[in-house]
Amino acid sequence: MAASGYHPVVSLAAAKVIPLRRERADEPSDEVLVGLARGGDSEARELLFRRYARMLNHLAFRLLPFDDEADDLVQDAFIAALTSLHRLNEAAAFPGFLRSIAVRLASKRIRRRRMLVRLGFAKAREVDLDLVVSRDVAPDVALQLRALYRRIEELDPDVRVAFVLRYVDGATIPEVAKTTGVSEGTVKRRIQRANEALGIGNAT
Amino acid sequence: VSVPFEDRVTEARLSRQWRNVRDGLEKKRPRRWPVVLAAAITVGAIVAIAFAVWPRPSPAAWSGTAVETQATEQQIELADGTRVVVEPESRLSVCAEAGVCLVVDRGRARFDVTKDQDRVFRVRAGDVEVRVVGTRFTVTHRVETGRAETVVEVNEGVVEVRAGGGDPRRVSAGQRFAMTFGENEPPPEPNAVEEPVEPEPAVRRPTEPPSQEEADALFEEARAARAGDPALAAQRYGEFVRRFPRDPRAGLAAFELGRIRMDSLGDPAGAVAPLGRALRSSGGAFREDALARLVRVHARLGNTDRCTELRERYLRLYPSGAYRAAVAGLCP
Repeated sequence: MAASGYHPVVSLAAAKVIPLRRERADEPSDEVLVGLARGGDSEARELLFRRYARMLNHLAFRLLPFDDEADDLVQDAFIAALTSLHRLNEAAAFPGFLRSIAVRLASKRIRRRRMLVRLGFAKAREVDLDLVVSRDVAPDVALQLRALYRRIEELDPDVRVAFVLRYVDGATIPEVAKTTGVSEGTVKRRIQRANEALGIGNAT
Repeated sequence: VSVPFEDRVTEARLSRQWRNVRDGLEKKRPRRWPVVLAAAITVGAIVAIAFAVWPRPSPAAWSGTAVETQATEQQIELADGTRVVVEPESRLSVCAEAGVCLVVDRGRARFDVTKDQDRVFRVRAGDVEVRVVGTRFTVTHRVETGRAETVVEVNEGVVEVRAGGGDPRRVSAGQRFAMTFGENEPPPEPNAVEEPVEPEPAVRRPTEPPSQEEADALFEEARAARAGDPALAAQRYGEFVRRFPRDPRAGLAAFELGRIRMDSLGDPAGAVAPLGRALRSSGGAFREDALARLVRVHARLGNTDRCTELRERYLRLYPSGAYRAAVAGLCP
C-alpha cells in the first residue's frame, strides 16, 4: 500500500460519511432527556437511545466489524451510559460520554478476543469487508480500503481505536483524545505507530 | 449478499437492541437502601406468590397472598422467566384458580409473560379478566368512590379480555382496552378499545414482500388525496402503515392519519391509535405534535386521567414546546 503512494485519508474521505447526530430542533433537548433519564424515566431513556443508536451502531461497526459484536457493543455501551448518568457533569455532553464508553468497551473486547484466540479458546474471525466498505466507492479505492482494514485488524487495540476514530470516523485529534481519555500527545503517538505499522507515513 | 453496515442498521435492529438495553437496565437498576429494605419486607410475599404460582398443588391454600407496594415498585420473577412489576401504590394478589391467576386489586402492574401454550395465565382486575399465552401488557385498576376503571394496554402479542362475564375480545399490540364501572350500574360494554390503524386480515397468505415502488406510490397517493379527499387519504395512510410498518415514513403516515381523522373526519376516537403509533416511531419530527394532539383528543373524549398523564408527559419532555400553553390548559 505504501509503495503505491496511496494516501488513506484521501481515499477514506471518498467512502460514505454517516452523520453522527440526528437531533431535530423540535425534539426535547439532551439536557431535558438526561435530566429525566437520571430519575429513571423510561421514555427519556428510550428517546436518548433512539437519538444516538444509529451513531453508535456506525461507530461500533467501524471498531468491531461483526454483526453480533457490534450489537453487543451498542447495547453494553447504552446500558453503561444510562446507569452512570450521575457521573455526567454536563448533560449536553451525553453523545461524547456515550462514545467514550463505547470506545473503552470496544478496546476491552478486542483485547479479550485476541487473548482468547492466543490461548486457543476462540477462533480468529475474518472481517466481512463488504460490511465496512461501501458499495459506492470506486473499485480501486475499495481494494485499497480492504487491504487497509485487514492490516488495521492486526494493530494493538489502543492504536487501532485511535486510528479508526481519526481516519475512519473523521474525528479530530482533540476529539479522539477526549473520547479515549488520553492526552493529545498520546493520541498522536498512537496514530504515528499506526501509520508506521501500516506503512503510510505521518498523516496525523 | 453482504451490504455495507449502514444498511444493516434497520429499525427492526434498533428496536431489538432497545429491548435488550431496557432489559439490561431493569437488571442493573441501582439498589438503594430504602428499596432493599422494602424488598426485604416483601420478599416473603414474593416467594409465596412464586410458590403459589409454580407449581400449584393446592390453589386454595395460596389464595389471597399479596404484594402491596408503597413508594417504590417491586419486581417478581416467576420460575418460567415471567416477570411482573408491581408499580408504586399498587396491590397484586393470587387467586384460587387452576394455572396462574393473579389479581390487580389496586394500581398498576406490568406483565412480561413467557410463552407457554400448556398453561393458562390470567390476570384479573375488577370485572375484567385477561388471558395470555405469551406477551407484554399492563393492567391498571383504579377504584374511586362509586366508580372503578380498568385499563389493559398491550405492548407485544395478543391477549383475550373478558369484561363482566361477556364474550372474550382480542386486544393486540398497540391497542388499549378501557372499561369503567359505576357503583349501581350493570356491567357495561367496554367503552374504549383503541383499534389499530386498520384491522389485520383474518388469514394471512404468504405473498411476495411489497416493493419500495409500491410503498412510494401508496405514500404519494395518500399525500395527493390529502387536500381534496380526506377520507381517501386516511384510507391510504392507514394502508401504508399496515403494509409498510418498517418504512421510515410509517410514523409520518400514522401521524397524518390521526390528524385527518381528528381535523377533517370528526373522529377523535379513531385518531388515538394512529397518533400513539406516531409517538412510538423513531423519526421524531412530528412527535411533539402527536403528543400535543393526543392530549387534545383525550380532553375531547373526556378521558381525564389519560389526558392528564399525557399532558404531564408533554410538559416534562417539551418544557419550551410550541404547544405548552395550549396543553397546560387542558384536562383541568
